[in-house]
Amino acid sequence: MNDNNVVMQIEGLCKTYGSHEVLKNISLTINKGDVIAIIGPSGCGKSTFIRMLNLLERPTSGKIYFDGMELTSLPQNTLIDITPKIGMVFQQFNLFQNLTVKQNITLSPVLHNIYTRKEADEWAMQMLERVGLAEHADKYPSQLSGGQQQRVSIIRTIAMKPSIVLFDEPTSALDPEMVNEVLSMMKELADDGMTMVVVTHEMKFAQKVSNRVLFFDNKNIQEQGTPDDIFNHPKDQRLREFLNQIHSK
Amino acid sequence: MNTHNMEKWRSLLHVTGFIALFAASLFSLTACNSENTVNRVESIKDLCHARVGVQIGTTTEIAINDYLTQNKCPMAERYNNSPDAIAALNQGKLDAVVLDELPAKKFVSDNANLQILNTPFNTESYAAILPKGQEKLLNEFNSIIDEIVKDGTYEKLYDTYVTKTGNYHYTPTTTEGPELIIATSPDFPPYEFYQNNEITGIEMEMAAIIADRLHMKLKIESMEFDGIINAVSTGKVHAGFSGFSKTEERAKVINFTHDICTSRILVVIPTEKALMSMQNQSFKDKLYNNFVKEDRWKLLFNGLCVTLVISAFAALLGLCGGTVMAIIRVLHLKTGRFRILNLLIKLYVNIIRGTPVMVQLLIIYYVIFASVDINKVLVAIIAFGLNSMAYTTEIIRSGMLAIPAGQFEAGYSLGLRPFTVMKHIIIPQAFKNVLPALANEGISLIKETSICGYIGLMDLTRGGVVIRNTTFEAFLPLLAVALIYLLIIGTLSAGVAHLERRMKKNER
Repeated sequence: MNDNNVVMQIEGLCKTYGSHEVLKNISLTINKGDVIAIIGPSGCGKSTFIRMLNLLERPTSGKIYFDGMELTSLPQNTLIDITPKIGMVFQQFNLFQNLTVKQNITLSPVLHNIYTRKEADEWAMQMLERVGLAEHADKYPSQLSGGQQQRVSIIRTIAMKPSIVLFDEPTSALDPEMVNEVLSMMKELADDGMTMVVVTHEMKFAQKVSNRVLFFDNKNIQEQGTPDDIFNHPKDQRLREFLNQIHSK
Repeated sequence: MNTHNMEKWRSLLHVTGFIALFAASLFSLTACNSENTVNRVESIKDLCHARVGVQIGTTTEIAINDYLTQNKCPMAERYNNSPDAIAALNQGKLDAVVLDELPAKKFVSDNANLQILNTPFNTESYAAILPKGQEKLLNEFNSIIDEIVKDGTYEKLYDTYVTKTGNYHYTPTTTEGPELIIATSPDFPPYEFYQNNEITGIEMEMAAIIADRLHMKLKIESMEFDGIINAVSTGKVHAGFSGFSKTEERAKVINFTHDICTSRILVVIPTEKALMSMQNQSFKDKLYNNFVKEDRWKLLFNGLCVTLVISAFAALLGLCGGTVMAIIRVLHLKTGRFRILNLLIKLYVNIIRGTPVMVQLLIIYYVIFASVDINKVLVAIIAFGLNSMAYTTEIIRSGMLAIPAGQFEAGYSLGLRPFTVMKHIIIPQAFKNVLPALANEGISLIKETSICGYIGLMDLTRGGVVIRNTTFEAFLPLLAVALIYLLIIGTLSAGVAHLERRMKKNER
């Protein structure tokens, strides 16, 4: 834990729903600048795992160290000040439906005094400009396409200046032609040095952008390694089957 | 015949059916009017061929129906109360109304179109009762009663208690000595009744005079009417004073004194002038009579103001309270906090939804604020506000629950506290979703306030009823009240529809 390079350390994380065990004894160290891709068959607990990292889902047991604190032991009141440092991008975008694009981005930073209202507005416009969405600043989320909404939601997340961003299947709800605009924005973010954990079905993205790939199966991390290890030299039998299924599509 | 023709016939049949139905209803309407052929009642005998009205469940009803059946005439029409019967008389639906002397005089003095038939229909006498075997006391009672009637004291009592033109009260001089115990059932004004928590009335004053003349102190025992004869016949009390009519049955077990007073059953009929004009009172006259005369429209206008004030503030109270309670319930669901409050709110909602609003209004006025002198409008606002609050809570809560969990999750992941998420994200969305349901609740609330009359408030409905009871005409006042409600609620609905359209514009 003394290593300044470590952003988040996970020890012995377990999750059970009633008598149904979803994840068993997972440990992982996330270093600064890591882009970790999590792949695996559906129902293997990938989403549950990533949702536990900001305690959206309470682990049954195990510890999560972040920023010198052990998250699972914190009271709700303290935790809420830490969650924005662990940004999250959702599959369904979850933009606030009653607020405009700009208001979605600026609401929390202004309430948390990260920016003044004026600074927040300027920053939001600058970011929207960069991804070509400036003209939509005063529109409501329902007036935007899925890809546009997801890009706004990424801006909304990084507006809180997080040390790590969790992506929970960010492109799964998108029409195919919109997947790339989101992925290229995520690549830019990774190139800027953002620490990221991405649950994804986009193998090309995992291969090109990530530096580590985790294969989840059988309630645990079944195999992990560099993209080259995982995609070109898979050892685990189940990983091989999984990759075959994907490629045969 | 081919199918096309069949169709044609069928639709023709439908149209004819409708026309027939319409014609039939028109015909029945005119038939109702033509029923108003007037039978003049000039003597008691004429009652047999006339349409007679009477209040249900009274001795008068028994008396008139006895008379009618003995003479092989149709029975009298029974009405729930005398004002309704008088209203029917005024509209020409009846030829005569039979009722007790005192209310009859009141109606006639209030209404220039009515008069009392010269000869009374029937006369009833009331007397006090004493036990058998107390002939000496009975004779003393009788001589004192005769004296009271002869020397004008009874007249003075009648003026005091009936016409209210006098102010005579007997003050006893005997302070020592044996007690004269009498029994009464003090629920029969003006003879015996409670006033300022004391039993008073014509018969009670007479009992006081009798006791005084006998050099005794009067002691009044209040009991159920049924029990008095028993108490007297067994000697538990000296006498009973409770408006006893002389019947042979009763005379077998007790002795009657001389008559204390007499009550007559009178026949009320329209005046000749009223009969003439009843046939051809124009719509304009009716409008004038119901709304313009004596500024009667003010009853509706003032009532409307009361209705609007109560509805507006009750709705406001319900909306604010309901929002707070809905927030607490949803926060409990999402965070597990406010366990006790959540339970209390659930209990509150169930109690309010499980009891009629009228009972709630009465409880709040007569029980909760029983000993507090409080403005009745405020009572109504509190009662209807608390009622509306329960429904509003559920409406807003359902609106919040309909919002996807992702909105809460996004708020959490951005570090927004639950209250902040509620305020900025959930409530604005929930309100838009439940606006139609809230408008519905508001509309119900406005109409529910029409029961305010039960705690003596003059709201819009009550205003219409008061006009009806004064003019004895139901159609115009009630129609006016209905139209005013329709107008308020129509305006409200239009406003809400406008608001909905404006909110829709914000989003696709």
